[in-house]
Amino acid sequence: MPTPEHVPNRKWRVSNPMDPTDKELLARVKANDTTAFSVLVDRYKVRLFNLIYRMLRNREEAEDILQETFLRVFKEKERYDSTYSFSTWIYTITLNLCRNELKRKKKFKFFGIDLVGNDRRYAVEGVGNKNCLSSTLERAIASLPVKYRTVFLLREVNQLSYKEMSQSLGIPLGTVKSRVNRARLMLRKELKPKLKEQYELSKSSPIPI
Amino acid sequence: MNCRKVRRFLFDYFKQELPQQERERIKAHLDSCPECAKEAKEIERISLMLKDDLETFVPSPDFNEKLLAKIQTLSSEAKISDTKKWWLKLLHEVFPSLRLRWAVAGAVSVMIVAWVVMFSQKQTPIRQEYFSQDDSQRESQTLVSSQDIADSLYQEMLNRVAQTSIIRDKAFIIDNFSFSASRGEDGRIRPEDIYKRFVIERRLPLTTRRGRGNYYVLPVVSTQPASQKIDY
Repeated sequence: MPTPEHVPNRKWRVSNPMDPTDKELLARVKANDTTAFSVLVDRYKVRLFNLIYRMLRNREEAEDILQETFLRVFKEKERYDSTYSFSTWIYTITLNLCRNELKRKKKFKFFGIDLVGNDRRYAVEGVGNKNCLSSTLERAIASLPVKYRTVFLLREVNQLSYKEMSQSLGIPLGTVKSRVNRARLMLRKELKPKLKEQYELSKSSPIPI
Repeated sequence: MNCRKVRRFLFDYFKQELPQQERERIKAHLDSCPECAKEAKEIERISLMLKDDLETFVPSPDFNEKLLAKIQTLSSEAKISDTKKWWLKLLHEVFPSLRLRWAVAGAVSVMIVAWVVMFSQKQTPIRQEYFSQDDSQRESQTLVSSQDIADSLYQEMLNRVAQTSIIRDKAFIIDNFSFSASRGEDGRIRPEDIYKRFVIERRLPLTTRRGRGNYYVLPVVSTQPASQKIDY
């Protein structure tokens, strides 16, 4: 399994005004332009992958869902409603697929096989080659219930606006806002003791963490 | 602005996404409230962590290749299924509504069932065939209990034999299966007796036929006079 590479978060948002917009690219995809499709895939794959991975906590499954997402985009390209942004549409597809996958896993859990819970690989991968803080944060995010983890990731990691989130999730704006707020409070509560611990550790230790 | 409201907006505050007016109001509150300022510091730290410390995972390097290959196979499969399912398409064109399609399917299946039932019933009443040729009003149309049949058969035979010694192209059916279960201590004639009298004593040629789970013994009354002995 390839180790995760580290790309700064900022990279996702970089866009050149000269670049074709998502809708232009989709129009070209409709005319069977595979290059345009590749561009579109490259534009979205990393941010969607991070979202799916943090939702499912399993690398292979995340890749499968990511592939399925783009397959859906390709298959359903004629059914895209251009009153919404392309980003909203693709997020909707991704979130639905994630939801179904989690539901499927939950069924297994019912039979005593825990697929949602403590995936060890996730914890190991989460440590990564950066500092320990990132893994503390990852674990805190992973501890959030699915409902809140979804909105938290969309807002704080994928940097979606409340409006985009409301459209992608199909829930009212007010609900999104309160859910995000609740998720933040939960994360804050989860992190509070751990950050303190880490802080004290870094103070007492001669080697900076 | 109270503390609760300020804390609600702290994450967004550090994201620089709030309108100018809101920002200023929050800043004013933070300057005056040490509790909230402390909280704000924590939130700022978490915000920074989220921005800088979170790993970015990337899908495997051959992701695009695999995806495009999959799309290729999918579109070729779609073409095959297009040619394969021409009859389905035709069906959809002839019967556009789903309800109509169900109705047609229902009607066809009812017809098939009816045909099967009719076909299977046609072979059943062998008895009926033989008796209804001469005496269509006989009660023996129905297959009744073994003793009744034994009695009626025997009566029939006796009558016929008494009237004419020759019965043309007639056969009598004895339901061997049910007769063997009949009891006959009270002087009533048992199938064994029928068999003995007609087949052994009178030497009528015997054929057996198997029908719907029962054995039918058919003493075919020959065109020869009953008195005439036939050598086998």
